[in-house]
Amino acid sequence: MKKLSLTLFLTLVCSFGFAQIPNRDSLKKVLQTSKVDTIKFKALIELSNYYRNRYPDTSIVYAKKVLAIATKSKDIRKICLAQNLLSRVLTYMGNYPMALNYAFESQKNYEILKDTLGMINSLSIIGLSFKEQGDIQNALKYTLNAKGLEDTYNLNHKKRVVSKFGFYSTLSSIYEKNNQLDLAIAYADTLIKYRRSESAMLYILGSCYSKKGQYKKAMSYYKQVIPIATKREYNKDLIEANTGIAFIFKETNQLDSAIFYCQKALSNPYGKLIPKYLLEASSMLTNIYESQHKTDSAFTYLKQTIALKDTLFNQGKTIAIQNLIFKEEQKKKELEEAELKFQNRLKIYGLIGGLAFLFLVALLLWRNNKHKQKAFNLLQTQKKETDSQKIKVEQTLEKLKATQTQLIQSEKLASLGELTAGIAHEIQNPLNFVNNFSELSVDLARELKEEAEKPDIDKELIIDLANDLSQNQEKINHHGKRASSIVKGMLEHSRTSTGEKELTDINALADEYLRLAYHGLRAKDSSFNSDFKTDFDENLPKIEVIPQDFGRVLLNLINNAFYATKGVKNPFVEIKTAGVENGIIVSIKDNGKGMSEETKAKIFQPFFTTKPTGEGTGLGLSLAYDIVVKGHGGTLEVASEEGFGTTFMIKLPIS
Amino acid sequence: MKVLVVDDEVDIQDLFLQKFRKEIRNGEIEFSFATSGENALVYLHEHESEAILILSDINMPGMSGIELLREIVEKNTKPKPIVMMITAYGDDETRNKALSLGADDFLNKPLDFGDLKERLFKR
Repeated sequence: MKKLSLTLFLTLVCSFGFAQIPNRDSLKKVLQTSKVDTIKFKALIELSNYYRNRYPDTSIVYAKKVLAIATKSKDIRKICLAQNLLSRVLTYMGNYPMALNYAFESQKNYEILKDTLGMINSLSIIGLSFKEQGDIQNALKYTLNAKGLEDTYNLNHKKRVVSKFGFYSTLSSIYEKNNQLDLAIAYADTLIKYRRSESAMLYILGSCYSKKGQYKKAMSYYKQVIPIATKREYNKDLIEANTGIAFIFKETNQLDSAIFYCQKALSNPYGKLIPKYLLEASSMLTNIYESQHKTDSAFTYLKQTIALKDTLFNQGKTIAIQNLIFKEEQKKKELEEAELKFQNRLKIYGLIGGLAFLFLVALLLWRNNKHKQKAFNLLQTQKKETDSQKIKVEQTLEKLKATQTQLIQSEKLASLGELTAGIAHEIQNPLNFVNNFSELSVDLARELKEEAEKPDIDKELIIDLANDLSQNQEKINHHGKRASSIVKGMLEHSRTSTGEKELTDINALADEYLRLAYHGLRAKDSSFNSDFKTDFDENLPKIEVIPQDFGRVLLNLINNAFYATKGVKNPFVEIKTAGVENGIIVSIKDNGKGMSEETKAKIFQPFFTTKPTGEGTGLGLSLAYDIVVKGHGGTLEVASEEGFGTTFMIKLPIS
Repeated sequence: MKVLVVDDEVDIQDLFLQKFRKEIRNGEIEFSFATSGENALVYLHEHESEAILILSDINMPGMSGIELLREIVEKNTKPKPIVMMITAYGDDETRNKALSLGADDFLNKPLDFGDLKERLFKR
C-alpha cells in the first residue's frame, strides 16, 4: 500500500511536474534536517522535478541523488522511479541516448514487476524521448503502447487519470509534429480541461493553429504561454512560444518582429542547457537574414544552428541511439526467444508430462492386465482343482449311491431279520396243523380199520371218519400251502422290487405284516408284549401297489409302532383301513411315548434315528416316505403327541 | 362240560372235534367256538349262568386273549368261568401276566391234546 501510494505520488510528479508548486526552500530544509530516507527520497524527487523545466542542470543533480539512494536501497521500484526521472531530464536536455537507456531499463524492470502503471509511465517517457529527437515513428509506437496498456488494464479512476496525463501530453505533441493537427488539438484540449494553465499544451495548440494558418488564434495561444512559462520559469515553453510567435511574424512578413522574437528565444539565459529548443529560432534567423541578404548575420546564425545541431545530433549520438534501438530490439528478440524457448520448454514439459501420464496409464494397464492374467491363471488353477474335485465328488457320489443301495439292502435285510421270528411263528402254525391233522388222520385210519373189522359196522361212524379223513387231507394240503406261501412272501420281501404294481388286498397285506412284525418282535425279545388290534374296512377296494415295497412300508411303520410302545402301560397298536373318495387310508396308531416337535420334523430325513446305535439304520421312514410319495403318488403323514402316542397315516390313490 | 374255544384259527375247531370225538359222542364234553375275543364275550353273555370252561388263544386280531381275560374277570359272572390260556409264546412273562390276571391255567402251542384232556377232566 505504501509502495503504491509512493508510485502514485511520484508518477503524478514525473508526469507533469507539480500541480501545485512546492516551496523549494522548505524542500531543501527537509532534505537537510530529515533523517528518514523515504522523506529525503521524496524531497529529492520533488526538487528534481521542480528544477527540470527551469534549470535542468540542477534537476539532473537531484535526479542522480535519487538514483544513488534508490540503488543503495536495492528497491527496484525506487530505481525505476529514479531512472524515469533521469530519463525525463536528459530528454529535456537533449541527451537522448542516455535518456532512452534509463527509460528502457525502467520499462524492463516494471515489466518484471508487472507494474502496469510504471510500464505506462516508462513507455510514455520513451515515446517522449523519441518525439524530442524527431523519431515520430518510434515516438508514436511507444506512446500508443502506453495507451494500449492503459486501455487494457483495469486501472482505477485515479490511476487512469494520472497515466492519461503522462501520454496525452506526449501524444498531443507527437501528432502536432506529425501534422495530425486535429488529433493533437483534441489531446491538448483534453489535458487543458484538467489543467487549464498547462503552458506546454497551450504552446502545442498555438503550434497547431499556426500550422493550420490560423495565425490569430495561434498567436493568442502563444501569448498565453509567455506569462505562465515566465512565472514558472519554464524556459523550454518560453523559448518555444517566442519561436512560434516569431514564425507567425515571419509568415506574415513582419520580419523585424520575427527577428525580435527569435532573438528573445535565443537570449534565454538557460537556453544553452536545452539547445534543441533554440535550433528552430536560430535556423529561422539564418533564413530571415539570408532573405534580407544580411550575409554576416545569416552566417553567424548558421554557425550557431550547425553548432546546435551538432550538439544534438552528432554522428556519435546517432550511432549510440541506433545502437540503443538495436540493443533494445535485440533485447526484445531475446525476450521473445526466451518466451519462445519457455513456450517450447512448456511444450516439452507438457509432452514429457503427457508421455509420463501415458506411461503411467500404460503401466496401470499393464499392471491391471498382469493382475487379470494372474486372476485368470488363478481361476484356471481353481477350475482345474474344481474339475478334479468335481470328478472326485462324482466318484464319491457314485460310491455313496452304491453305499445307499447297500444300505437299502441292509435295511431290507434288517427288516427281514426282524421278520424272521415272525415268519417262523407264522410257519409254525400251519406246520402245527399239518402235524396235528396228519396224526389225527393216522388215528382216524386206525379207527376206521377197527370199525370195519367189527361185526356190527356203524356205517354212520365209518362215513363220519372217512369224511374227517378226507377233510384232514385237505387241511394238511391247505396248511402246507399256507406255509409255502409264507416262505414265498419272505423271499419276495427280500427280493429287489420289480417295480411293477399289482392289484393288492391291502387288508390282507396289513394283516400279514402285522402278524409278522408282532411275532418277529416277540421272537427277538421275549419281554416284548403288546396288544394289537385291526380295524379293516371290509369293503376296501384292491388297489395297485408294488406289494414288496408297500409291505416294507407297513412293516416299518408297524415295527416302529410296537417299538414306541415299549415300556408304556398297556401297550397297544391298532391298524385301520378305510376307503375314501378315489383312494384308501391305512393308519397305524400306537399309544407309545410319542414324539417331540423337533423329532417329528426330522423323522423322514435319511439316517435319522432315535434308536440306540446299531439298532436302526435311520433309513426305514425315509424309504417308506419315498415309496409312498414318489413310488405310489400318495401321502405319508404323522400326528404325534408326547406321552400319548403316534399315528402314521398313509393315503394312496386308487389309480 | 361246556368248553368254549376262542381262536382266530378256524381249523383248530376241527382238531378239537376230532380229538374229542368219543367224549363228544359220549356227552362228556361239549365244544363251542369263537374266532375272536368279541365273539367270545357275546357267547358268554348268552350263556351267562352256565358253567363254562374257556380255552383262549392270546394272540388274536382285535380283542386279544388277555383283553378277553380282563373282561371276564371284571364281569365277575357267577359261576366264575374257568379260563385256560393257550399261546405259541409260552414265556414266563406272558404266563405270569395271564395268571396274575386270573387265568386258571396256561398251555403252550402246539397243543398236546393228551395233556389237554387230562387237565380238562381234572376240572
